[in-house]
Amino acid sequence: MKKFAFSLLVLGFLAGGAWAESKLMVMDSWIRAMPPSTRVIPIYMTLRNHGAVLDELVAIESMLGKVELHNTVEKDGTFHMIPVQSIVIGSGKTVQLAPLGLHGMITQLHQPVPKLGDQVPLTLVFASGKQMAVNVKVVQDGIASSEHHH
Amino acid sequence: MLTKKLVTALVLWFVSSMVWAQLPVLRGIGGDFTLTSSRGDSVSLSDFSGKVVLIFFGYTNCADICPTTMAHVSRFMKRLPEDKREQVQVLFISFDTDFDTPEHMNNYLSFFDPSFIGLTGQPEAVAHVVEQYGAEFTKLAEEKVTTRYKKLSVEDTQIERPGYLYSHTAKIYVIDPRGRTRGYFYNGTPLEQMKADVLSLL
Repeated sequence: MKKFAFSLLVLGFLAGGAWAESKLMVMDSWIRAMPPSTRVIPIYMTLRNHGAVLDELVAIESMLGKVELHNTVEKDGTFHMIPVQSIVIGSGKTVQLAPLGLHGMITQLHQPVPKLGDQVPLTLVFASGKQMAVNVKVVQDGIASSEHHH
Repeated sequence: MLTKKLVTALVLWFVSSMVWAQLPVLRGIGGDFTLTSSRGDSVSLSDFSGKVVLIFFGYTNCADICPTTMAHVSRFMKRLPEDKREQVQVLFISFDTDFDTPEHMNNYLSFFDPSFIGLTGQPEAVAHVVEQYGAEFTKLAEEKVTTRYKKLSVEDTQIERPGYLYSHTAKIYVIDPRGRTRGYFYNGTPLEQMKADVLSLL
């Protein structure tokens, strides 16, 4: 019994003592390949929260420039880009950053625009203080593109 | 004999009117205009008489809507057989007259599809076309989207022009070979429907 309990504890530590911690998965992340003279670069991804605690993305960091979080909102046929302070991913929920919706926007570029096929390292920063490093590929049309199997 | 001809004529008229009914001529929206093209010359909508024209209003500092639309339209173009593709012209009209010079637009558009033509002009000229087409655009917060990286292109070296963000109409206007507005496509319009609609106009 003691042995069992001890193994559980070890396993628990191995898993990062993760019972009440957040478990966030970043999937299908992509950056749209943009013309070399662009001043803005969009970032998209799917955030899936497997954990018991909500996650709140407060920033994305990139060596390329400043990243802002935005939401594309439609009102009477006109599209607006609204700055967003943070993106909450509730426990058990999935939030998509996708074209015509939530997205990250890299501006004030101080490095050359990445090319098709490049991998761009980004850091996702959360309200909890957690940071996640992701490598995002520059592609022509996203993984999340709905036209995939037309 | 006459009855057969009459019946055939009636059937043909009925079928063709069904096709026309899908994309009715929209009165009061659209019309001819002249602006400056990304290739440096003066361009009018009537220059493309005989072709289907797809018009989109946007600006190059747009991160989400405009590139997504350009990608969608580019994918649609690739679906058309080559001989039909040559009969379709995409026009991207920029209302960001502060920032989008013809040269800059040419660099931008050629990345998405070399056949796309960018148009811009004096603010009043562009505003007039926007109004003709029942579209709109609004300059948003005074945000800078410029880069400090100097090597990009000849025109960018010295002056750091502020790039503003805009909200705007994102419809793709469908113009028939006679210059009349027939309908709209959107980012969500399925490619097959776009293809069927455009082919029906050619």
